Amino acid sequence: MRLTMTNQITNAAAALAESKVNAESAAVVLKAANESVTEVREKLDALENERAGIVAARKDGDKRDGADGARLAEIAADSEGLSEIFQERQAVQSAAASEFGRLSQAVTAAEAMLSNASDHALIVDLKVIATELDAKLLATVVEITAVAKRVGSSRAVWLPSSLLANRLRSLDMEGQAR
Amino acid sequence: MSQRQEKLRLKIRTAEKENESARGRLRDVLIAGGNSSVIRAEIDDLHRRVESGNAELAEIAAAESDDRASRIAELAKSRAADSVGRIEATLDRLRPAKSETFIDEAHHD
Repeated sequence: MRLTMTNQITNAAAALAESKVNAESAAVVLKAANESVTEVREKLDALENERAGIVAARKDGDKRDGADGARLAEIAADSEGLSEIFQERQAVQSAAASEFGRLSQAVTAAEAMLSNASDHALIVDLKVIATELDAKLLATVVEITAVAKRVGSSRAVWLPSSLLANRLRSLDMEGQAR
Repeated sequence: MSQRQEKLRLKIRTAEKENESARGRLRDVLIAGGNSSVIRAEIDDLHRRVESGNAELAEIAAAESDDRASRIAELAKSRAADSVGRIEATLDRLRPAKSETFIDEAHHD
């Protein structure tokens, strides 16, 4: 039983480790995708700022010898091209984010599996300790009663705490109901 | 993909394109009845470049796979040890310790 539980913990830990490494790789891909979107976003912002600057300067009467029209056309063309790249990169980023989310959920599920396997193993071992304590407590109570009788005491010389007595009573009732 | 892998892929793609073009030239030379040995040597060299690029890529992939496997093994070992450690700590706390009794005191005296 113990070996089975240990194997379950080992297997759950291996599954968790694999899911974590997968999620880490996905996080690297997502980070690169985020950076590549930001890169294009910044270029688009810079073009937009330049366009707004030219428009504002022209409103103030600065015509730059008629060079603005050509530059504004260039900016519009570049912005259009960059917008296409931006959309492509956003699609890649969205796919990477979705993959990262899926793998993160797998990590959470694997964490729960490991926790569950550990708890089951703990229950197996705690039952061994409880059974040992049960036998020792019973033997001690029997011995106390016998010794108390020998010294002429008619009253119990040791009592379990109310908490223990209540808990044992409740467990006993549950056991009988099964 | 690392920069090294990107460079290797570019090297392979370039060699494959050059190979395609060299094969076209080889056909022209063969039809014209000229000397094909130089172009054949060029094609052999391009093949070798593609093969060496692919071999390097395979080596990198194998090394990455080894790294990944050892990282998983290390992490799995650590997480299993953590879980077992927590179980043992709980059991140590609850396992009956030897009680300090009157007899022990008398024995010490």
